Amino acid sequence: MKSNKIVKIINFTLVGLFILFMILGATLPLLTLSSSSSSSASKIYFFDLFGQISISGSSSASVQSNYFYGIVVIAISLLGALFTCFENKVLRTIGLSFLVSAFAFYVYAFSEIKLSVELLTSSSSGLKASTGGAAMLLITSIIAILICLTALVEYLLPYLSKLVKPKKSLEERLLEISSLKEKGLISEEEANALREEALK
Amino acid sequence: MRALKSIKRVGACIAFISSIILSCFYSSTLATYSISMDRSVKIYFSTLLTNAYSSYFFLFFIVAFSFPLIAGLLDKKASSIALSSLSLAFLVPLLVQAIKAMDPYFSMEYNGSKLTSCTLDPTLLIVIIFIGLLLLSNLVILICSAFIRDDKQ
Repeated sequence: MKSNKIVKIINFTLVGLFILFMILGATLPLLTLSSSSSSSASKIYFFDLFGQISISGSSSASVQSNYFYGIVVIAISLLGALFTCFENKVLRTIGLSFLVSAFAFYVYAFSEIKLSVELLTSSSSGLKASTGGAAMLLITSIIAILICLTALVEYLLPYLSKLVKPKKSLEERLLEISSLKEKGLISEEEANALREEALK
Repeated sequence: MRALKSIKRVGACIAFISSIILSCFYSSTLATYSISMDRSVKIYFSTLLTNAYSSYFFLFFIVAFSFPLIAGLLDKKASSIALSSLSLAFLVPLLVQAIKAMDPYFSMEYNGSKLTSCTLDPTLLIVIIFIGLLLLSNLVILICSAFIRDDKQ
């Protein structure tokens, strides 16, 4: 019972951290590009990951954000994190699965940013790239997988305790039931039901 | 009935592990096609994703990674069948793209240009194996769900 409570507290803390880092990752620029020759810096945000690149002229390009796809991903992540806090088995399973997809997406976003930085810095030498927001996404994905693991531990705790706890012999179980009845803690009917269950 | 449910759980566990492992390979180079001495094209796992699903790539993470888990861990017949078959159908284009990435190795041609060299990374094989495992676990969940009976309320 105590271990169950500890797992629950860890789960709630991780969910809180997940939401915090997810919001930071979605609002902070994932990638900031600045060159030594010009003072302006171009920034790539979370919603730009789903956008389209439009090229105007020979050397300038802009990204058109797609908020709908971004909102779907954020909603799935948020639902996944919150559903793992519920007692309901169905909701918890859905939450766990949504968190796995959120983890996969955030790792994907981080990898894409990493690849872009590698390509951009190898092609032009004077370019500086900072990936502060992308690191937030990586932390979010790590927290997501930790929530999944704690949810799995909570799911498996009853089975694990059954494995660890030694099984009582039939004689001991029947004696325990009759002592409970003698103490008046259970009724005759309850004692009979428990006896039948033990004899099965 | 219990055995079928246990097989479904095992299928869900395999899908979970495959999803986590596949997530580690997004930025891995799967193949390198050298068109000339100074020009080469690298194929990443993320390239396969965008080739297969274009701008709907984000659906891949939901349908391919979370649906098999829901289908395997829940005991509702209809939802398990629907989710696992959806996931199964969604994974096929990615497997086709992964197999297609091997084509230039045999034909030494890429987008109509002759290749000077073509290198396939062992990661490509790993990715194909884990996509195959995901497909297989979905198939197992689908078959088990078809024979499972819903608990009476």
